[in-house]
Amino acid sequence: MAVSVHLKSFLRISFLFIAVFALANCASAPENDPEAVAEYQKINDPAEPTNRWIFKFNQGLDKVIIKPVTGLYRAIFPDVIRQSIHNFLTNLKTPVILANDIMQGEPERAGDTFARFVINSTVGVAGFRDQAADWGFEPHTEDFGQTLAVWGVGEGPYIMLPILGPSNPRDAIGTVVDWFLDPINWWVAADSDRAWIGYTRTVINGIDTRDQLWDVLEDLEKSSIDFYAALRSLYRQRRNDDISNGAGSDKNETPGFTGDFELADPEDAPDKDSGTKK
Amino acid sequence: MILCRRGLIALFLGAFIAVMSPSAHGAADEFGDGAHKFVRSLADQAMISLTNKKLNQADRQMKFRKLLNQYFDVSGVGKWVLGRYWRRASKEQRTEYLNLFEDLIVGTYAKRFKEYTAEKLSISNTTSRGNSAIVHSMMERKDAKGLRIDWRVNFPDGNYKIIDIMVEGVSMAQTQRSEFSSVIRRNGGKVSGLLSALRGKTEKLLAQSN
Repeated sequence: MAVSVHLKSFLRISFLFIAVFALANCASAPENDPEAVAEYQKINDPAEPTNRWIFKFNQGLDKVIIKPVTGLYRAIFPDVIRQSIHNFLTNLKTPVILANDIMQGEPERAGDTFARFVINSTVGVAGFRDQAADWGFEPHTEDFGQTLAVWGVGEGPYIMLPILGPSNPRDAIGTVVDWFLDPINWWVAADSDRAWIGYTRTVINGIDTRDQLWDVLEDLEKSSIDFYAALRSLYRQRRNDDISNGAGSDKNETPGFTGDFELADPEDAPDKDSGTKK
Repeated sequence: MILCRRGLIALFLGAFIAVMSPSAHGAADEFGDGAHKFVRSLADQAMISLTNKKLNQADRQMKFRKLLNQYFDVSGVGKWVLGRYWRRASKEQRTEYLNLFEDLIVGTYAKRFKEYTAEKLSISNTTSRGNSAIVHSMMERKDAKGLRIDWRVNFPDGNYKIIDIMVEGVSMAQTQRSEFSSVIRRNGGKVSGLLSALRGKTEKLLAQSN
């Protein structure tokens, strides 16, 4: 029953997206300039005007509802309590993480996840305490978007989802699949009297997520001159880091190693007088 | 197909790094050792001169700027961040840009040392390739999970210089490069648009105390 309600609203939202993107006046690809084309492809955000519009909407929503509610949550509950709630919610997500560990062929990480679930659900008092981390089973995240990436599926163009924020087709599909992988969602769906549990969990999850991102977003907004572009870059890099399970920084394309100045060598300037030689 | 191959390469690279890194530092690697010491020295210096709570804002910024120029290749990174637009910039614009770029870093990061509590930087290992190394470290925090910080160090002309910092896999230089190019594109491809945005931002950042 509840599944079909969820499914219906999900489908409705999906159609809305498709409509919005079909109507979107897409950022036109540059012509005649190979560097501009390369840059355009690297940014990989063909629906940028629409995405920026949705981002503005999200910022408005954040300002009016999400941030004030989260601010209240931060004011009422001290760090320790908020951390416990975060631990509890994270523990509920472990079945999904475990499924993705397995699908990615990572037996060691799957073992960690399983041990974490057993330890934290018992000794960790229903997950409120992360005892497993103290015993050397560090937490990690996995989701179906990452699994698809490991299987070789490309991310596709960047998209800004209403409310949910930065994403791409691969990760958006991953979010849906993860919903179906979660046994709690099935348990909630089996009895319509449990629907409130599902909604409560979604709301608290949302507040907790915003709480976890609080400092990062504050800092980024304060220091950036184009918040949207900074967030886009940050999202991609974080996802790539997650996909490679933290091994990514050695192949990140930054000055120094490979591909430096791949778009232009600043030294090949028309007027050679400026630009100190490194 | 290409994506598939890239995924495989990434996997392979990941596995390779995971296998290699514990011994990478153990190998007698003079350059890697030097890079490790260089980052350690920066962390110690910053701890001594920047975390004093009584320091006023101007002094903290001044000390931060000094360390920044001593340990980082600020103009090299600044140029890389501007990327292809560096060529389009006039001589005056380049000079102003590099100054603003430095101000942006000072304005963003100097004040963070004021709130410093009990974080500790522990360096785990170093991987090096040619004249470039990555020093891997953890910023250990009291009540939170440690932050993974990787330092990219170059050895251009007999001096070590840091050229990038990656926090949890997010490169500062890469993020800025992507952001700056976006600002320029949205200003009709003009570097002057970036400069005026930077002027406004740095002025605000340097004036705010937190």
